[in-house]
Amino acid sequence: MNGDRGLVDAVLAREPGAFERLLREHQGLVWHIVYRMVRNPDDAHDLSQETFLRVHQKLRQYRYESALKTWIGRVAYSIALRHLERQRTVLGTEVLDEELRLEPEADGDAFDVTQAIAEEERSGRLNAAIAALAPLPRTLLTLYHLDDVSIPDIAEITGLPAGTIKSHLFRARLRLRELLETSMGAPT
Amino acid sequence: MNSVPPPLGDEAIDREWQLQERALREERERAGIAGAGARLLRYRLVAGQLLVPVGQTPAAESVRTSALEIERLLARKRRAAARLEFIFIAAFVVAFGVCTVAAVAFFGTVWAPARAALSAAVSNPWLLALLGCAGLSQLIAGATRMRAAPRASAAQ
Repeated sequence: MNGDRGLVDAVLAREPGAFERLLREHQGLVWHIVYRMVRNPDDAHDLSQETFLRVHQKLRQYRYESALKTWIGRVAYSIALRHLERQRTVLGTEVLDEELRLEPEADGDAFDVTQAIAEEERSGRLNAAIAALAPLPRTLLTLYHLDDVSIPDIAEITGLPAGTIKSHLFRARLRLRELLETSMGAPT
Repeated sequence: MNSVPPPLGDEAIDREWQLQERALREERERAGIAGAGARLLRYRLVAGQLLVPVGQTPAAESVRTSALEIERLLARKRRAAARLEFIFIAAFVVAFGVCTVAAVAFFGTVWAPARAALSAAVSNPWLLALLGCAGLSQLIAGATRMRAAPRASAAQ
């Protein structure tokens, strides 16, 4: 938090290069959130710019109640969310009430997934499956996996309860695993 | 920020969750796959794909350009807001002046006795000194504020 305080103070004091440093440190997270939510690169670029503009304007209101990264992530999420709402895109906030059927892993189930399908094809199918997820679970997966953001911090960014986030992560990963198996003809 | 999310509510589901978490952990650590069951391997493939960078992050050199663009845009907005504020204050001062002149023109004769009493009071040197000090301190405070405002906008 001391690092955050120093950077925030520098930006507010308009020290040369301070805002550029803030942008550089957080652009990855902002990009991931916005791009996963809206999927269009041009829109994602514009919304990322809008996010940092808003961050600069509202930085005086940041009270160090959470990490700076979490606060900025929240700004990015709310901007992307508003964009999707304007486009009337279904966010996928509701955790589906479908019953989960988990088959126990059979003894000796040694289906070699690493060789069943070429790596590039496997990667392509998984990528397509991730892209086909609803915006919210897709974004949650990226925050949790790629940005290594904890569930409590994701809850702060999105305003969703931790249990809901965990449920989305679980169901999305389960679905991706099942899709992978189906596409390879593997026994589930 | 150490709150632990609640379990998913079913033993089988929580075991599956633990498997998913193990897959993520092992992918991050680039652990070997020897002895891993098929389900864990599949989750590791999923976790591995989710660790691949997303889209095309903006190039490093464009970060400086973006930062400068944003700062210039904000500076323009601040100048526009300051100009608008000046226009409103000027309009208020002019309106106030016009109303004062109109009031004096309409009610000047009625105020004549009161003006005479005020002149008598103002001729008191102690009262004059007190009013002078109060006025001077207000002027100094106002000048200090105005000196601080241009310095802040010049730093943009």
